[in-house]
Amino acid sequence: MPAKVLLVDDYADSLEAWSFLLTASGFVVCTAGDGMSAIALATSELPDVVVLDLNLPDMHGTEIARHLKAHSLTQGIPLLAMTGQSDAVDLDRVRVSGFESVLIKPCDPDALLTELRRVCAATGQREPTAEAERIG
Amino acid sequence: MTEVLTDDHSPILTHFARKLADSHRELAAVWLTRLDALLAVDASGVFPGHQLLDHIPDLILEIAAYLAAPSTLEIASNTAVMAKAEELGLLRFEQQASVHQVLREYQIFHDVLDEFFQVETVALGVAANPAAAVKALVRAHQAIRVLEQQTVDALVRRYTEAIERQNSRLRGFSRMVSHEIRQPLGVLQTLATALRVDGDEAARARLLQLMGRNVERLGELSTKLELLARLTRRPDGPGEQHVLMTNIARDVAAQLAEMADARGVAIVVDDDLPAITADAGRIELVLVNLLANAIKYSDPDKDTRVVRIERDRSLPQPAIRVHDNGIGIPAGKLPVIFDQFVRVHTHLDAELQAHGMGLGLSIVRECMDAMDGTVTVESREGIDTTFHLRWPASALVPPSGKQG
Repeated sequence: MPAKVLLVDDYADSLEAWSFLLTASGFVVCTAGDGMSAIALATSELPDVVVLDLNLPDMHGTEIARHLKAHSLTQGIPLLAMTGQSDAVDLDRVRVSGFESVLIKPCDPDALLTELRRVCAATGQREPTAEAERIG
Repeated sequence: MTEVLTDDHSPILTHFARKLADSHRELAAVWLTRLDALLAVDASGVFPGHQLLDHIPDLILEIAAYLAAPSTLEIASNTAVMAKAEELGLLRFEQQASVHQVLREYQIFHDVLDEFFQVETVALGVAANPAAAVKALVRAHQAIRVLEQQTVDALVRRYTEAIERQNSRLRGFSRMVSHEIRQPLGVLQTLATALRVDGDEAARARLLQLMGRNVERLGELSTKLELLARLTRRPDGPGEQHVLMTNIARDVAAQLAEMADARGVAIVVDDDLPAITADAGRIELVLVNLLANAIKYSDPDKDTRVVRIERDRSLPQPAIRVHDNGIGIPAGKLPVIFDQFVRVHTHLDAELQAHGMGLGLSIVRECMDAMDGTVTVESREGIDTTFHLRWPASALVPPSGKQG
């Protein structure tokens, strides 16, 4: 059973591009375009990892992290942040909000794939399928 | 008039103080007349205006009171007069006066008082105590210098604050621009990797389509940024002409007809929109952005979808409304929608096939600002949105002066 990733971004093209790549890399992908849907999906789908864009129209990514970390069902899910803001103060704030790591946009796809595999392995989650090997 | 004078300076000072108080309105009038003459030569200057008529006589009265006060008293301790001098600085800031202009205005004040003291000293006659007269004059000039300092400080402080605000806005703007560039750039980077994956033809075609759209978006962003930079520059010369707004609105409606038809939106332009003197390019840009938004955010659930550009006859100045029965704007977002890169309906992008960068409405506001006009918005979510555009009364073209 492949690992399930919840992708959260308000930029629809970004969601579509990442979905394609992650699916092709062997992950099962579900997507949300805002914070409320992200929390709802995380609770219903229980993904193995959540990749969050921090600047969403309805709430900041750190707020979503607080929600997920506060509930027993979702508190164990590792969170990866993706942000277009590279301000050091902001990044420090993000790091202490419960994220495993912060990736700066534009984010190297290989770096995200490596990070996803690392997080899945570290938490003993299901590995993505061998599909990933097709990316050269 | 000759008075009995002693070695004590105070009777002379009191005499000058009384004379000064008696003539304060007259001296203020002389000062203002000279300012007027000065600015008539310097056409780019802004006449200080009628508010000064309230301030100047008061300042002269306070200087008169200061002359008669004990010599140990500093004028700076008179908080009322210092507040007046400060207000003067703030007022001149509002009128965009330069420090140089304000210093010249105060120099004229010094000159007017010099002349007053000369006349009054002569009137006192030979019996006058010259040392006391000089002391009165020096004290008056000292007082003016303190007030001048206060006015200039207030003026400079306001300019400094304005520059700091602008700087902070620019820093925020740079961050936003960088964020907006990273979005499509990130998608392109992901797609470049995704295209290496073996996929079927349909998937590849879709990825290429996404690529094209994001390249286009980067191009559009750079065009809009360039446009914004041009708009925020003060216009150096008039690109102004007599403009029939109905004609411009119809042109814009024609430009956007394809987009409107695709979404079943009717554009209605009233025949009697005002004729004004303005930059036609700016008006076109305002209407293109407002109409494109109205079409983009039309409500697919409504049977009829209409955008109407109509004249607002309730106001004396030229004013129009752009009204649509689209999806509306949430009340919480209304205060920020004219800010750069604010987008309200990103979650509906896919459904409404609406994409943009949140620069449109900030361009509208910049354009209206540049024309000394205003733009405001009212909206009821799910019901309708109305943008109110207003120009100054001076922009209105009299009916006989209408041109194409």
